[in-house]
Amino acid sequence: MIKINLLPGYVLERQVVRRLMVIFAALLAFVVVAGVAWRIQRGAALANLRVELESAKMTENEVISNETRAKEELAKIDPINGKVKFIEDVMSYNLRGPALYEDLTRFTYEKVRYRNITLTDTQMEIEAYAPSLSDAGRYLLNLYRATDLFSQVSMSEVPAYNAGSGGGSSGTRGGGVVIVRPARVRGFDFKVTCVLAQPLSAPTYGGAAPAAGTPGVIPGATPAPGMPPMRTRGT
Amino acid sequence: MNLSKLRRLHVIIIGSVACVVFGVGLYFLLIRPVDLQIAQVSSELASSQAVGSRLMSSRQGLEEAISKVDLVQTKLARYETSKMPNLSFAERDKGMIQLWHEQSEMLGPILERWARRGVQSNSTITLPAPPTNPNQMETNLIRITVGKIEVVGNFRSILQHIRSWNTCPRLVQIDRPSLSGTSPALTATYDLTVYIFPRTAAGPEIKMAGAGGATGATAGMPPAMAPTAPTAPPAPPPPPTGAGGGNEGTGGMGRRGMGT
Repeated sequence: MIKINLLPGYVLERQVVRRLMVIFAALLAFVVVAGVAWRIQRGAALANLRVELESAKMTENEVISNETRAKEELAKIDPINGKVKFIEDVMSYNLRGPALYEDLTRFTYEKVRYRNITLTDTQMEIEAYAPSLSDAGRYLLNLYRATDLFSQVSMSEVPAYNAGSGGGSSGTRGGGVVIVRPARVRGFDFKVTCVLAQPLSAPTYGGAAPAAGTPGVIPGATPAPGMPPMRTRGT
Repeated sequence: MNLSKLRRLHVIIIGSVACVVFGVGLYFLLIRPVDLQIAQVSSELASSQAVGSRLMSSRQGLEEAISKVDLVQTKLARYETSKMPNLSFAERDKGMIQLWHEQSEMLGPILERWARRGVQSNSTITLPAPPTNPNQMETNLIRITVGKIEVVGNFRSILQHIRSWNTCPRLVQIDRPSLSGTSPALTATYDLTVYIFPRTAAGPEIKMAGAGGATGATAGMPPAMAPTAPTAPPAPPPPPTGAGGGNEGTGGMGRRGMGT
């Protein structure tokens, strides 16, 4: 059987157009629904992230707080250490003088007698008595060997010829031979200045140097004669 | 609107454009702002998590720092207990009175006792008067210059005497000991300085009427006239500076006696 469509062409066209419009309307609705659904899904993801972030922020705050407190605690150490170091420095400084004197005795020649020893920040001045030139010489050579104590040693006074210590004499014997007797230098005082290898510097606290006191010289002290060596060990 | 003139091509074009416009519009209006927020939050989260990953190490670091501070504080406390009077300038006026007691009553007898340790002392301990203006005091490290001390003894006893100052219940500095004389009656001379660390940091300056107080030995209060703190025990015998010596072995600051 043959079907013959006698309707005009625009009728079919209208039907197609109507269907197309329905299809595109549905497509549009799908686009809108899909967009909204996507938005909801992303919103949920965002909310989850925010919850996670909140927890992470709390952890971060704890870390920052811990680190700040640790820094604050560590900052307390320096001032306390400064005090402790100053106290310990003062106590070890107090021991340096006696140690120097004990070390000096190791290099003291037994026939040399000390009259006065004065200690300053940088040097030790020794006033002493030697029975003879040889004894003074030995003593001086000993001090030269004390390189761990003194960086420089100088002796200021050695008696000159005819300077109050008695001169020599000369005469002639038969045959015209000239006999010369050397001058005998008897006991004499001398002074030795020793520059300390490690200067005595008083401890300071917080960078402020305490005012230095006057050197420990005994005002008006007169050396007593015949002061024996403090210790007669050594050569 | 007359739809009869619309052809299928028109509908396809219009429909396609409308779908694309709606799709793109929805993306930019709804999706993209959320995506941007997600990116930002993710970035913040990553940064927070990076910091948060140090949680254990930061806790450990804090514990170590606290233990280090405890260690040095313990060390300092040991020295403070054995070498320092209990002075606090948190309240300057009270701290100043405490300093008066220390400087005018306690310190002198202590130094006198130590100056005789193992030797014969030829010196009279004289201490400068304490300050009278609580706002002008040195509150960080108090330095009291005692001056020269002269003692007589043999070589060993003098050296032992100088070393023994380190056992004194105050922090004492011995400067430049010198020796003279004849052994066994050598004379040693040295400078003595006492240092005191107050226990706490100084408090704020106090309001004073006139604020005319002078400090130090120039116009300070004579030690014998130093007022007594309201809470202090009855004043012990006055110090040697001024009016007679103190009573050795009796405490004034409520901390320790001298006799050790």
